Amino acid sequence: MKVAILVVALLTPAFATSQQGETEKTQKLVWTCPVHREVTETERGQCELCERQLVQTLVRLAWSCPIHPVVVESESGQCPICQRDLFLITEEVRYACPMHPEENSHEPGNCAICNMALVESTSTRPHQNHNPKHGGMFFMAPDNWHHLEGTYPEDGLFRVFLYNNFSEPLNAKDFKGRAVLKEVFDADTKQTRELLAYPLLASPDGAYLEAHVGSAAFPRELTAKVQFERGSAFERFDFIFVEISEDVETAPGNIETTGLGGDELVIPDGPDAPSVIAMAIAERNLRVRALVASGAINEIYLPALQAKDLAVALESHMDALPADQRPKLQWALKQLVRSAWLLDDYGDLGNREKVHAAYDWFDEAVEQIQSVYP
Amino acid sequence: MKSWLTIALLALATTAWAHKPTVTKFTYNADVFPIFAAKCGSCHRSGGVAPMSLLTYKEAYPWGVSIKNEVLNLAMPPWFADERYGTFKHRAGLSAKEMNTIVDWCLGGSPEGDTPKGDRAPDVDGWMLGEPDLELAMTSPVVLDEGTSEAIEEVTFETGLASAAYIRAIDFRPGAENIVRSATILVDGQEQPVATWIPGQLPEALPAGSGHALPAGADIKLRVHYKKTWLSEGTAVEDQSVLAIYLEESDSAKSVETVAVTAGSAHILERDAELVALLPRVETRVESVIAELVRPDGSRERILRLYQPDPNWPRKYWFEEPIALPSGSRIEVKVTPSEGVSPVILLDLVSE
Repeated sequence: MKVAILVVALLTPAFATSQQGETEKTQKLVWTCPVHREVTETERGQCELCERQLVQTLVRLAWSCPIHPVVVESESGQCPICQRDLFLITEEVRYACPMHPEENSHEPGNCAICNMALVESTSTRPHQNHNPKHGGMFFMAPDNWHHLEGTYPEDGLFRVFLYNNFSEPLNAKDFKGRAVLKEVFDADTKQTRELLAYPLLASPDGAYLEAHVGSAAFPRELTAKVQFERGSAFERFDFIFVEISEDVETAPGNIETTGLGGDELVIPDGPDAPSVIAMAIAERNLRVRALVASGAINEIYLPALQAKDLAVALESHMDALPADQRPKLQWALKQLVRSAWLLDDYGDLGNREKVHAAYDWFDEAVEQIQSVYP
Repeated sequence: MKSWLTIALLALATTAWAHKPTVTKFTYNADVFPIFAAKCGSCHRSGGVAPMSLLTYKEAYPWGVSIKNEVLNLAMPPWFADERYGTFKHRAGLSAKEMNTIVDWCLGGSPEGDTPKGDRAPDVDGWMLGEPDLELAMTSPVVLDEGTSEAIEEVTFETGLASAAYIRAIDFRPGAENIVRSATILVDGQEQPVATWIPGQLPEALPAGSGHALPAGADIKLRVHYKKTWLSEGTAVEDQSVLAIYLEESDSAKSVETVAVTAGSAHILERDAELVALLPRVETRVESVIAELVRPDGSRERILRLYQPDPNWPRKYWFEEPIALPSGSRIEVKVTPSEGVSPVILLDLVSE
């Protein structure tokens, strides 16, 4: 716990740490848009998306379970439900009146209407800016705080840039890592054994970690294993490069609003609509499957979220089906919507194992949809 | 296989980008509130049993990430039954569209929108099944003092009935809605409950001409699970709940037998019967609980699959149409994972 706080405090000097034993907390006031909560700035201003005035929000580091989000602790440890190791998250803190929830603030205090003490409520922060800064692949770490970008700037050279939750660069000298080229999974010991790995070493200016991984043809599959806190486990991030990364930062304002994958989608209409939609879903499934297989898991969200928009459209045609087919389709459409959102989430994290699990559900849902509309 | 590879290479030819900041097209007032009002509002309202109301924008939006997680994990609304198996009354799950609207709104900035659309679910005035034959109210309140967060209390009622009767339906009205999590109703001396209640659950009656036997002079026991949320923690709360009992009018009613089947075992019917409802009793978290029906001809039908049921919300699942079971039929209950846990499913069987 102390090490974690210390590392984060060093990296983000604006964080105030109070050392009060059990209640030790690390928090920071940021400016965020009341509507676009993913917009987070360190200074007062306007939202870059809608020009609303930003409002002040208190964010705090806490520890949560990867599968029981209800568990939020002020220090690292194990989940009381499943004993998994807790990971670092950022929560948004509000203080609200139990009787008049509209009376809420980022500071403790009393309700202006009834003078009752405000009660703390928290929610975890939404998606941050995940645009690559150096033309590479961008992932979020499982702690929801650190982010990293892998690039392949020249043949045989692998670089990893590290960022905090606000996409601010971090000093690579504070992290350890290695580039893994070859590994095998031992089914008996359930352990992955690395056969070929190179250390990721910090550049003299601390801008990035770098490893010389030898020349090879594209596509190049490289895994970075990075330790974010001393003593903690090395987290894995699976990269695939099909070309040399061009170091061009995304221009500010060049924000592609995908409507969560749905805006450009044309939903088929007409008498054949259900079959056409089902075919379009199957086609998206092939794209998702290819991305899962190729390792480009941070791109899955586009076809996956399009498939779920198609699934929602297909649901409106359900009444035309024979009654005995409807429950199966209902289940499949829900399962598809769920797993598409989970693929989006796990793809952001760069976690291939979780992506594979969510893809199994996605694929099963598509298979059931196809059995209804063969 | 070939097409995957082509698509993979096409996809990879573009720069590898993760998420852009996103904007939802859904707003609370236009899209989300109608779902919350219809599917969540019986608990998530001011004074309800849930620790937060979702029925105004300001109450709902701070919980966006929790709502998204609960909905995607199928933990809320607490329905748990897989749509593919069994057709049940009062289905409480979300549709694909509703789930998508909620998640998109939670992740995409949670905007409020302009004018509210739709109405709050109206509070039901009186009993939904009509005037009961017996209304049994707690004569003195159950008190949870300041220091008590959770309790299970049992209250016994005398029915005052001189002769034996059959109970066709039971409804329950909590006094302190913010702390009553569930209620179990038993006929004194019988092991299995005749009814259960959880917040938001609609009352249901057995088929006409059938009922749970209520012997002459037998008392009715009400067991209530109380639990405070952070809203009521540290305060004393009094509850005075009421039971509504509906009796079967016919003197020659078919009797309902409630049979407990533990996971890993089966119940074999010794005479023809109709399966009316299933009440799973799950004490710990499990991946899934399954009930399967094997008819005497060997044909097998899955009639219930619960996915990660929450032990806090014990719901009775009423079949849309009772299932006719010939003598010799077998009902099997399975659980995954099977080690160390043994949930039970209670079967409500009507026979001559």
